[in-house]
Amino acid sequence: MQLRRLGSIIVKELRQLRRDRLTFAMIIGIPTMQLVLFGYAINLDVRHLEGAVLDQANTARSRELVANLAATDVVKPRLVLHSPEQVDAALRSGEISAAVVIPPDFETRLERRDRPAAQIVVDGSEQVIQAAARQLAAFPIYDVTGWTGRPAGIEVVNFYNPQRRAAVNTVPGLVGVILTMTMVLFTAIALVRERERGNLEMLIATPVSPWELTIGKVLPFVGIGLVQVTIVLALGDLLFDVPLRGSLLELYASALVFIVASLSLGVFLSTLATSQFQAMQMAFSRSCRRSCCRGSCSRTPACRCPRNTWRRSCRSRISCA
Amino acid sequence: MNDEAAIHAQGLTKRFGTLVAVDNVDLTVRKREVYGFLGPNGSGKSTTIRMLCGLMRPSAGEIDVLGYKIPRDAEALKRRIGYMTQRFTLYEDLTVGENLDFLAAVHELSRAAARTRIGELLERFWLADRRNQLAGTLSGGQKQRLALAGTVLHKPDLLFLDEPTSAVDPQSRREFWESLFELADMGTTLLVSSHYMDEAERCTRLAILDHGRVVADGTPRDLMANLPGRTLLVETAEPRQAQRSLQGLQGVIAMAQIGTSLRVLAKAGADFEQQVAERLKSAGVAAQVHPIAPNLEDVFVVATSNNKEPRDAAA
Repeated sequence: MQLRRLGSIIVKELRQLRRDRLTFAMIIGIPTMQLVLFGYAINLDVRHLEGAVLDQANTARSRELVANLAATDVVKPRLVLHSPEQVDAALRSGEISAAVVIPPDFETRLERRDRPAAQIVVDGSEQVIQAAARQLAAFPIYDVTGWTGRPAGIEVVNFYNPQRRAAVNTVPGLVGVILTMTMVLFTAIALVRERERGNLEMLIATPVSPWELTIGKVLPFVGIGLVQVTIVLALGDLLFDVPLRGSLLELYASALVFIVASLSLGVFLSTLATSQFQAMQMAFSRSCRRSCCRGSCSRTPACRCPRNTWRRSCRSRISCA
Repeated sequence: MNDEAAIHAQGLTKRFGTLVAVDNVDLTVRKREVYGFLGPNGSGKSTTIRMLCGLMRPSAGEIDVLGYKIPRDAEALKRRIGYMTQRFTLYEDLTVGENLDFLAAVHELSRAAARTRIGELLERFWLADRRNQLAGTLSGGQKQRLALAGTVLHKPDLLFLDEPTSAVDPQSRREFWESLFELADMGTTLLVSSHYMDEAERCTRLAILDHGRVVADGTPRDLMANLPGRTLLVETAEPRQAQRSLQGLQGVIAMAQIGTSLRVLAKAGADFEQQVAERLKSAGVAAQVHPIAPNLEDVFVVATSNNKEPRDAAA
């Protein structure tokens, strides 16, 4: 170990680092981005779930309960519904994540305390929403005597995942995560490799058209993506017993749309990257941003991150109990 | 020889920002010629070739290749030409056979035609026993032959070879040129760029490019014949000292030590031999001076120095 030699290597390294603009940008960009995201965007409190109210009792106390639940800000009762079927439909379409259902005999139930007085019906495909609903259900009831201190006797009904098994949530979500990661990466790298190795120089002098080249390079990955979907679903079924109900064809059709979108992004990244390594860095920093936003998106139902979008698109097909 | 032109370019110019890479080049390549592009790195050889192939749009100028107007008919031209670069651009992770199969399909050869054509090319380029070997594991010379096989697969009428032999050893270079002449014999026109003098000398005609301009063109023999009495060989025991004493002598373009003798290249003008001898004598260097036949390197040095002079004068 000779200090001068060591120093010269350090200086050389820093010089190269300074000229590699992408790495340099990542050194500055990643901490800044993470800090801003975690600081502003990622909020671990569940607030403003899109919700609905079905108040079949419509008494002073039932309205009081709804108002109290709304006052927590956890659920935002956006819709007022009039039948249980409407609740089912709204949940299935993803319009709402939770619904407060108050039965016609609410007052009786409240007095007798033998059955739950009301229900919170939640989209159980998201565990965080489930947990929030359970907390909400422990809400004390307020009556003429003031805060009673006893729980209101609210029952949580989990749609899509009644047993609250984590795998039912994570496995379908994983399909989305794996597809975005690998599809974007594969295409970006495959196209950039062609350029980096000089093959493109040979191809442009042949009658191959740009469309033929791009589509020909991307199509195999569509097949590979479908194989990946199959692997995740099959393993999910075999190892974790994740049920698959409904139309398999529709599931694959939505997977196909998802794959094509990811591949297009890969093609786009490949036009920006000049080397395979750069393409990899781009795809990763993208998915890193994604996974960091994922932590928060389950709480912000409006977020359209790939995992949520995917989960939404296949929710009605997977594990509809 | 058929005098019909395979390539005809006029006023060909390519600018990259303020840099003029190719500057008003006029060029005529006749059919069945092996036409050489000789020039230092950055002289515009590759850029010119890329424009002639239709891979790059010229900033100005007219190009006619095999009767196609370029860049307008570039797509149609692609089926008639082959383009090969210094770098190995086939797929290293495919085998020799797979690479050729791919190219055959790209050029829309029928399966049967592809099979016979590939077999024939593998034989001709001594690659038959390498058919199932990955291209990446071939030697430099073999890679070059494979690239050439891939370039001529669709029997192009015109081949553009951009420094095809820069990365291979002399033996492979000789073999490669054998293949090129074989192609020329069969009626293919070749345009080859190089910075090797021995390769340029093999061409039927050549153009010397410097700073994007054609500074000389003709057959190698004519080009060399244009330099009578301008190359001198100074035989002396002290070539370094001889070179120092001749430095600054009016009319000397270049000097190069060749072994123990000194080769002097002079500007056009009479009595130069005598001037050199006198200069050496006064410097006290014992030497014999006599004229020798110019070679292509002399042509190259004269051509590129002519181009520099007006620039130096302007500077």
